[in-house]
Parts: sequence; C-alpha cells; structure tokens
Amino acid sequence: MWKTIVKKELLETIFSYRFPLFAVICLLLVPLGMAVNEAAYAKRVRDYSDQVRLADEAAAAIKIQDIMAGTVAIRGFRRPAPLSVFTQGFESTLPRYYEFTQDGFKPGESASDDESILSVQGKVDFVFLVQMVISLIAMLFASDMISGEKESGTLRAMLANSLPRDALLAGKIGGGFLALWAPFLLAFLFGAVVLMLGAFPLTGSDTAARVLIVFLATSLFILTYFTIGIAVSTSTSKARTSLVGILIVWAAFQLIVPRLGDMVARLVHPVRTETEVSLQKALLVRSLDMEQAKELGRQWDLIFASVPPEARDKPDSPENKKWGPIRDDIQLRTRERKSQQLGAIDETYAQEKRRQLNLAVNLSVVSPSAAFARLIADVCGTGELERARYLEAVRSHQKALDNELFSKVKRTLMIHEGGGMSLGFSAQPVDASKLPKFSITPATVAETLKANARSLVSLLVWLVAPFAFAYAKFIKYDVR
Amino acid sequence: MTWTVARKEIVSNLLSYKFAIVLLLMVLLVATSLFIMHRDFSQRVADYQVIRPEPGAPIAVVTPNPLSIFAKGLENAMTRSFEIGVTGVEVRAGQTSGNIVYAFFPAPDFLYVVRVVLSLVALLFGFDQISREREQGTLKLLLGGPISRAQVLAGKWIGNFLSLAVPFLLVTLLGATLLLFDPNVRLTPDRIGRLGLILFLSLLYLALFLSLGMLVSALTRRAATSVIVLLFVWALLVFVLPNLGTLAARRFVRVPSVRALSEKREQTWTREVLLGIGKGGDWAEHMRTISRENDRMEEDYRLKFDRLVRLSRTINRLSPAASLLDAATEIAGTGIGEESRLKADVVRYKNSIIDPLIADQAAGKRDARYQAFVDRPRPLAEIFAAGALVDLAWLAILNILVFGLAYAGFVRYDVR
Repeated sequence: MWKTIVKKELLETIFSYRFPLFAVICLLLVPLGMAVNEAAYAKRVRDYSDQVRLADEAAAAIKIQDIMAGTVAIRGFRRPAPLSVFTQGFESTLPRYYEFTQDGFKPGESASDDESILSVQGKVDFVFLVQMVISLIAMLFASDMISGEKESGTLRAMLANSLPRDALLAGKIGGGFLALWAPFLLAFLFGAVVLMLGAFPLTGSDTAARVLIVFLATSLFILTYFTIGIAVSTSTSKARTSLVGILIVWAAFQLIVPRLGDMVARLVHPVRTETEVSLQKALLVRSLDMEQAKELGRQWDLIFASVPPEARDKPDSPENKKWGPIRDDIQLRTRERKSQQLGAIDETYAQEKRRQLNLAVNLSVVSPSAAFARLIADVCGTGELERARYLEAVRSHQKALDNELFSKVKRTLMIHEGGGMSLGFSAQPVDASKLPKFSITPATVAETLKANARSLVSLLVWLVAPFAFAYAKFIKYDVR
Repeated sequence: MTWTVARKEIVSNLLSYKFAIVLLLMVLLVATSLFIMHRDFSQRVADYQVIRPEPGAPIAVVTPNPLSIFAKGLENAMTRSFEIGVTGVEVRAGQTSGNIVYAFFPAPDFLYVVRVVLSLVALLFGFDQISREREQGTLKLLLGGPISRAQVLAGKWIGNFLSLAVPFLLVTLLGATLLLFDPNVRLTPDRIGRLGLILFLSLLYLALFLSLGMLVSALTRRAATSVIVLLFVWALLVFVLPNLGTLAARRFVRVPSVRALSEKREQTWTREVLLGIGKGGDWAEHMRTISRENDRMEEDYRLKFDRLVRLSRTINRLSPAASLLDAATEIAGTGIGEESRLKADVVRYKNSIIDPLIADQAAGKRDARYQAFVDRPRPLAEIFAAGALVDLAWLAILNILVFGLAYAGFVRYDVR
C-alpha cells in the first residue's frame, strides 16, 4: 500500500505543471552556480601560481643585507580550495597570503578586494541557491500535500480504505521527495559534467568523497525542508494558510535566525576590532624596542666612556669582551618580554574571539540552513576549519622563519644619554634557497565531520522533529 | 467606484491573519537588518577612529557612510585606507569589520530585505487577487455591478499597494528615527533626501512585483498555479539574471588579471632600481619614472575594467532587482560609480602631492606635512546623469508595462 501511495504522489507531481518548472529552475540554477564559481576558481588558481612563482624568486634572492635593513617580507600563499566551486564560504574573505617579517606576520589582501565590484549583485554559489531557492520550492511542493487533498476532498476517500494514516503520511513524504530529488540529481550530475568540461579536477585524492558528501548532505537538506513543509501543511486546513506559514518559516530560517545568533553573540561577548589589536601590538613593540635601545645605550656609555673613539672598534679589547654578553643579555630579555607580552595579547584576543564565535555558531545552527552552510563549507575547505588551520600554519611558519632566517641577523639600536643614536649589526650566513615552504595541512574528511557534529545533529533533529510533529498532527487531523 | 474596491481590499487585508503575519515579518526583518547593519557601521566608525591619519600624513581615508546601513554596496572596499608612497598608491585593509557570519550569508542590509524578501511578500499580496475571487465566485458578483474591469483592477492594485506600502514606510521610518539617537549617524538633509529616494525606488520595485503577481493571477485559473509560476519568475529576476550579466560580460571583455599587473609593476621597479644602482643618477628621477609607469598601467587596467563593469551593468539591468540595487547604492554613495570616483580622486590626490613627497624623501625629510585628502561625494544630479535616472525610468516603465499586461489579461479573463 505504501508503495502505491509513493507511486501516486510521484506520478501526480510529475504530471503537474510545477514539475517541469522546478526541473527548469534546477537545471538552470545549479550548473550556473557551479560554472560561475569554476571560472572564478580558475582565475584564482592562475593568480596563485603566478604569485607563488614571483614570491619564490624573490625569496631565493634574499641577501643578508636585506635582512639587516629590515626590508625582508616573505609571503606565504594559501592555495585556493578547488571545492569552492560548490560554496564560497570564507574563500574570498580570507587573506590570500600572509606576509612574514621579523616583527611578526600580517595578513595580505583578500581575494574579494579587487573584484568585489562585480560581486555586488550577490553570489550564486551552489549552496546559496540550494539554501535560498530550492529550500523554498521544497516547502512549496509540500505545502498542499495534505491541505490540498483535504480541500479537494480526496483525502476522505483515501482514508476510507484500509490505509493507516502513518503509511499515508510516509508514502506522501517518500513520493513527494522523490519527485523533488530526481530533478535535483539530474541538475547535480549536469553541473558535474559542466565542471569536468571546464577541466576541473573532480577526481582528486579525496575530492570524489567530498563531492559525494556534498551531494548527500544537500539531499538530506532538501528532505528536511520538505518535511518541515509537510508539518506546516498538516497543521493548517487551507492551502493558502500553509503558504503564508511557509514563507514565515523560510524567512526565519534563512534570514533571521542565522543573524540573530551573530547579533546575540556580539552583545554577550563583545570583541575589539582587529585593527585596534594590531595597533596595540605595534605600540607595545615600539615601546619595548625604545626601552631596549635606551638601556643598550646606557650600558654602552658606561663601558666605553673612557675608551678613545678610534679604539672602540677593536673586537678583542677588554671592553668589547665585556660588552658582548651584556648586549646579548639585554636583547634576550627584551625578546622574551616581547614574545610573552605579545603572546598574552594574542591569546586574550583569540580567546575573546573564540568565545564569541562559539556562541554565534551554537545559536545559528538552530537554523538548518546555517547548519547546512557551515557543514558544506567545511567539507569544501572554505569554512571555519580552514580558517583556523590557516592561522595555525601561519603561526608555525613564522616560528620556522624566525629560526631559519630572521634570527640570523641581530640589529643593535642604541640611544645614548645625550640623545645620539647608533646602529650595529652582527650576522650569520643564510641560505635563502633552503627556507621552509609555507603550506596548510588540510583537515581530513573524518576530522571535518567530527568538527561539524553540531551541524549534523541540527539537520537530523530538523528532519525527525517535523516528521514526528506532522505525524502527531495528522493522526488527529479532522478530514471532514 | 475604484476607491470602493480599494477600500474593500484594504479592509479585507486588515481583517486577515495573513496581513498580521506579514506585518510581523516585515517588522522583524527591517528591525533585525537595521540593528545588525548599525552595529556593523559602528564598528567601522570605531576602526576609523583608529586608522584615521594624523594631520599632514599622505593617507586618504574616507569616513564611514551612514547610508551604508541601508545600502551597504561597496562600502567595505571604499573605506580602506589609501597610503600615498613614492611609487604610487598602496591600499591597506583598513576598516574591515572582521565579521563572522556575513561570509556565509550576504550582508543583510535594508536593500537586501527589500530585494529578496519583501518582493516575495509583494507577490504574496498579488498572486491570488483574481484567481481566488473567481474560485470563490465573488468575481462574478463584483463584475455584475456597474463597474468596469479597469476600475476593479485599479482598485485592487491601489488597495493592496497601500496595505503593503503604508506599514513598510512606517516601519522603515521608525527604524530610521531610532538610528538618529546614535550621534555617529549624521543624517544631514542631503542624506535624508537620498534616503527618501531609496525608499521611493523600493516602493517602485515592490509595486512592480505586486503588478507581476496580479498579472500572473490574471493569466492562471488557479491560485496554486500562479504561486509556482511566480516563484519561478522571482528566482529568475532576483538571483539568476543579475549574475548572468556579469558572466556574459566576462566573455566579451578581457581584463588583465590584477596579478599580471603587479608583476609588471615589480619589473618596472627592479629595472629602475638596477638603473639607479648601475648609473647612479638622480634617485628622485627614478622614483618619478616608476610612479609614472605605474599610473599608466593602472589607467589601462582601469579603462578595461570599467568597460567590463559597464557592460555587465547594462545586461544586468534586465532584472529589476539589479536596477534597484545599482540605483539605490549609487544614491546612497556606496555604488560602483562612487567607488571609481573615489579611486580617481585618490589618484588625483597622489598626483598633487607626489612631487613634494619624492623631493622630501630624497632629502631625507621624515616629518614633512602634506595637504589633506578631501572626499567629495558626487552630488545627486551627477549620480542621476550617470545612470541612476535610467534605472529609475526603467523601473517605472516596467511597472507600467506589467500593469498594462495585467489589464490586458484581466480584460480577457473568463470569470466563470
């Protein structure tokens, strides 16, 4: 009996005017979204390889004098995520590169900066279209599944047969969803073909697995919204009423809940802006450097006061032997203070941000749309996980460069009591061609899924809860 | 007679729960949007206080624009800081608001709410105007009276438009008034005028979608059919068309990648520096050559890029959503035209101080002062001449066209 209902629903939808319309929307939107992003991705990759080549050439040509002059800035680039063709996520807001200098690292421009003009119309990535348009259509398909049949009186006739209500409901959901899913499957495959024609590497190491996850998660997402639509339909008696209900649910999940989470998180845990923090750090570095220079100048004056100027440069004079350890000690202390205080600022700021982010995420995944968007972004390597990994990689690269490169040169700035300044250097040889390369370790599929447990739970809850609700409502439904 | 029909529509809307729910939705959305965008704006103001250049520094930074709360547009790109150096303009990140969620969901400015959600609401007001009355049988009775079909249609349109527009205006004005409590949001008379224009454009846009709903309603027999058709049209107009233009324009106009540009710049730099080392010569002269060549490349790029932008805007204009966005962001002063005006101004500013800058650097003067950058947003007249008027006219024409079609459809409508 269950199968009969599924078949009936499937046929009814396929023969209705709305099925071809939906199929056209799907076949138009999904490949379009993929094609647009594929073009953008190809361009980013071209830029990336150009820039990496240039940066490598520049790094290989580094000379010890450059480090002395303090003009060395090494760039570490982030490779564009191929799966950004499915969702942009943070892809265009993450800095394209970080610049490493002896004073620390700072973010470069983000990819969106130069072409943001063209994206002013909004983006059309696959996830966005599924989230905004297909979810609405899924709910609309479901909107008159129950109330429509009641209005036309066929529900009564059906239930007069030996057909339990739960079988009817399950059959309706199954059939209706199949009719939605088939055009989506077609559109997804079509999109994949478009991508492959554009020479997109769809069969990389674990790319196929990730694409499969994207597909499955999207199917689950559509089913979720379809079930929510059914729940709305069973709780209203007129098709028109359920239409308004659906619009409200849709607007709340797409537009209000994800942002309310962010808003509440900002009110509860306010965070300083990045600009403020970097300014604070720069001020700290400057004041510590000044302190050190003054201290060095004072000590130098104490030691060398009685030495005639022409004898000061002799490396094996007793004064110079005394001066060396004192200078190294002062510099070491400053370095320690610097790393400790800067580390403390960074740590506090990171903690503030983490707290805010955690709350925002927890609140926003209440909406299945936000949960879906986050999950797919992480699977595609353009989400929160990628951002964290990027920053981690940047930190460890800075450490590696400090060891291999920047620590090879010591600059000694001194400010003497009278206000005069002097600058001294000591350097060790550097092999610029052996510098460590910047790379980000991508999260494995298992790690990604683990980090997104909240999103998965949210999607499942939103699948089960509306179904249970619809079932409870439908059992009590007055079919007259 | 038209007014009677309009009054009937208003009253029946007022009595329906649909109206109450839609009103609630409108209040929630507009309030959320204004609140979020206002916080976003405040953060930009805070950042501006931090990166504001010292007097005399050769840096151009624009103050955050309060109208960006309503239409964000390219505000983020425009509020970066432009530092003038000896070799040209360097763009620094500046007032990025470091937002968490916006990367996933588009900036929920007022314009977005109008463009995406309220257009849907307007369709909801229009989609069953004729087919429902036919299904209920009241259309027969109505047309049995001494009233022409044109009057019925006009009355229905006016009634529904008022039920949509009045709450919309009230909610928005209330929100805007609340914004005035923040001293940072300086709404000068000029800005209030611009806000009024944006509201007018929004109303024109919503009216178009209402007419569209009525048109489809007059062409279909059942309300359920018109819902799906309208949804299809909505997705097409709001999401698909505005992006097709850009995609198509890219096929026709090739723009050198920004990367290629920076590569060329680096080549010039290396060449001049090598020349400087090899032959000695005047350092300032080499800097001037670098600056000049950079300017030339930048201008070449800018010309091509402008052509791309113009073409994609022209194609996008097919969609009323794109027209509204273009016109409203331009009027708010956060649009594409305004952004290129700012870039050109920065270049002019650079040209005016580059000679003393190079001379000072060559002489080793570190604390030299330069004239400040003055940001001069384009006046409204110029904005209208540059394309906003076309958008406005296009929206108006579409309105008339769709309403005319709806009338034609209704005249031929079989009321049985």
